[in-house]
Amino acid sequence: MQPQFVRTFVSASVLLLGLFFVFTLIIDPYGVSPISISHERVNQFKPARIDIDRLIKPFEVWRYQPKTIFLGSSRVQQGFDPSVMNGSRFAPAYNASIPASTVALNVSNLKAYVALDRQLKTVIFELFLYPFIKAKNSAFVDRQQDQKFNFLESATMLFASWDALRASGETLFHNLVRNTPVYEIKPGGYFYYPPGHDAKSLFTGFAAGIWKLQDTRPDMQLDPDAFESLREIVDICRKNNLELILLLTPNHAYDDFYVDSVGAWGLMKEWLDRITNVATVYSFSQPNAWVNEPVSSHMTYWNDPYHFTLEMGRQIQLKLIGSRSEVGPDNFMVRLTANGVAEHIEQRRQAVRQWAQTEKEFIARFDEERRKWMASKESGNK
Amino acid sequence: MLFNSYLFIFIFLPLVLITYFQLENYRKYHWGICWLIFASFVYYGWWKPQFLLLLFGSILANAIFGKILCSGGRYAKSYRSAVVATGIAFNLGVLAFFKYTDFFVANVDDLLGFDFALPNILLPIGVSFITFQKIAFLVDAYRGQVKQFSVRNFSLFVTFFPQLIAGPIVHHAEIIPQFSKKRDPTTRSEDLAIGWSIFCLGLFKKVVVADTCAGYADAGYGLLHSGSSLDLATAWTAVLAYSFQLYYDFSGYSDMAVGLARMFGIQFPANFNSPYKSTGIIEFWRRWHISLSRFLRDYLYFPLGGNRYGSIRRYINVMIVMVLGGLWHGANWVFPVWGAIHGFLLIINHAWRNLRLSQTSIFNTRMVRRSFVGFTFLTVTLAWIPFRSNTLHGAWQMLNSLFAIPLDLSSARALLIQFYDLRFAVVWLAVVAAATWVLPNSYQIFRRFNPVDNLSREQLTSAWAIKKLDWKVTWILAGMFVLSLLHLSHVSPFLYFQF
Repeated sequence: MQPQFVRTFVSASVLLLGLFFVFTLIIDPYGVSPISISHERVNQFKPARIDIDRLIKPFEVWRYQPKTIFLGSSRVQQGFDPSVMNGSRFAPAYNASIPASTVALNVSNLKAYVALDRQLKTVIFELFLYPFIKAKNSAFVDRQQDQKFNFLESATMLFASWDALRASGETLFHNLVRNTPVYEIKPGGYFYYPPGHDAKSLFTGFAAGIWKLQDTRPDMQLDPDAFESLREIVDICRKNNLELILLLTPNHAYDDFYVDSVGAWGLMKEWLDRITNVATVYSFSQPNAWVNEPVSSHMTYWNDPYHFTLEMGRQIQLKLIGSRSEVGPDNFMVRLTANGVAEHIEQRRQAVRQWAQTEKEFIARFDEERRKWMASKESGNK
Repeated sequence: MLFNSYLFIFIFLPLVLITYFQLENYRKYHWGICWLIFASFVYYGWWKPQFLLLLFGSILANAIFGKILCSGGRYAKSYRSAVVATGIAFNLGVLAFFKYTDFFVANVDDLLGFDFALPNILLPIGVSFITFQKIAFLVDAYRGQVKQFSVRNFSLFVTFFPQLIAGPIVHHAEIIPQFSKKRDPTTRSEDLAIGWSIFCLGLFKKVVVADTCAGYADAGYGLLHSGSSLDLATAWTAVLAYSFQLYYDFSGYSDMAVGLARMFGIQFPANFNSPYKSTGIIEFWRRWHISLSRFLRDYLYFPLGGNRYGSIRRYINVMIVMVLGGLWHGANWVFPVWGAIHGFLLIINHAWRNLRLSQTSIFNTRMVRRSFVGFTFLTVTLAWIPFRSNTLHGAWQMLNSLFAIPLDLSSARALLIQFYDLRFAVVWLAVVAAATWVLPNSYQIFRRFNPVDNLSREQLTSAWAIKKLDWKVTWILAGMFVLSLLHLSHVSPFLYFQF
């Protein structure tokens, strides 16, 4: 009986595992299968390919061996479809950004990407003020640093896990029954919004949300560790002979108004002073019609007050590759050096104050939420 | 190294089994024992090799104490008393140093206003279990219940990897004699098949059932610890999920330990016998962590006087045993509080049994007994709240959330959506609950193959018992194994490792 038990057990396990692999590789819920079959009503839309950037991106960098990678936060993730770079010296490019990533996590990711991608030539790194500000909960930052990429572990989770089976089921169900576009990370690594996204509601929520965020950065001080991490990124690029492009991505007037209202222009100046001393910065945050696009439900350049659209990202990329089809405002891209920081800050300050005079409703809401927040802080202190 | 890891299942276990079987084939039984000791040391040292020194030193010291105590009339009684006292003090000292130093310093700081720095001593895994095994051995040697032993067999008794880090707290009298038995090849193949089958069941319970429950429990308790409030539904989901998580985690681990030992021809005692089917707390403790209950009864409750000095003294003894048993689980006030709650429940249960009313037929009807099962489960589940909470304040908050009026479905629900779908959690917990009360346990399923040595076949009667490992059973086991393998990509340690 027992040898038969072993034979039956092994054969049954192998057969069941085989069925699992056939099913998950064909359905390919995470878009990482080497088979790569896309069928309408089967797996065209991939609802499970979301919130798994940390898992799939190192894997896809290894798989696609891009020449250029984008690094940064969710702003980069939502803003840059790297296929825009096709035909330029940067192609093939890949959007390897991780939402909510700290600068330290970007260091650790870059190390992994350099090890995985032999074709890598250019790193485009997003500069955003808030990852450079000391967070109240530094344990979150420490935890991010601990999350080192493990290729074998990631491959197991993507290809041989219960999650992969469940995600395959969900994917098949969605395509069979609903068959509608979903939020998902597209093959180039960028985040896709299905049609019908309402930007206005997110702009409306900004006034209340920003004060909740304020609790996470009560001191509004620059974080020396973040600058140390940036220096590490520069060092890694130098050591591996990689071109590093630092992008100061667009800031909507809503956020500039917040910076103005908490008196953080000095902080912003110090931040840019220190960064422009490290490397050249390409700035897209100068005030212009695109950056200060009026709020509506369907905006061309903004998904919400922090995240610009793929269209804005497309124009940025066209500008970077020097394409003639780029149609942005005159000051869309500025090469920002240490000498130009003061002027850059002054321009933004004046522009946002001017902008505020026409946005009475927003300002009233913003001030009201600030009053509420201050009152709750005071009652908390008591 | 965890039982639920690729490394253990695909590398360590096959390597240890194959080598052990080869040594058996060549009738090198002593070498087989030595190989298992070596493998157990590798298993133990995988996490922190420096603790091997502690394990080795502790075995050596206890073997010396044991040799002195087993040397018949060569030494005076007073000398032997001193040796056993030294042995117990040594073992408890090691446990106290590694497990309770930080706790002690923190409490002295709090109480007396000192500012001593916490030494942050790392707890060697399994030290609590090993300590109890060795104490039981020394006490029995002192009582003359251990006539003779070899250092080799004693070493394997302490280190045998299936029970090394989370029990069962095996008794030397039930294990050491088995090391001397010589298996014939036919028994060996049956042991392997039965052992592997029980292991697969345990693996499934751990990685599929317990770890899924863990997601819901951790999300709820995590939110509470981070300062959010829970509404009634999410609080109950978290509390019930933890109750089932702990149940299947421990049940799964116990099955895996029994299965692994069986593959080497060793029969372990049952440590877990469907405790949520108990009709009272007394019965619960006869079914939950049986080997710990046995140790506490034989080496603490009886020496304290047990029930020999009247009811009051008995209740005091019960409370002492349960509080200390609680403290054994961890160096945090939540554990003795948990123990005290169980002590209190046991006292009530004993008092109830002493009432004539409890013997009347009305309390023995099927309906009433079922309601007792439900009541016991609910009581035990509520008692797990301090066990799971980091602080007594956290436990109190969770308890309050369970009875909060659900008028405001608060921000907690919205936050929880990030972690799981409440509807799915409710369905999952309902399925798990049904399986807990309807399905037989692993020992009942395999009763024909004598899976454990402390429960008779009569105690394990079940209509679900399998007659043989035919192709249908094998396919089901293979399916469970494959599902478990797919769940292994989320590595999670057993809860009882931390004790």
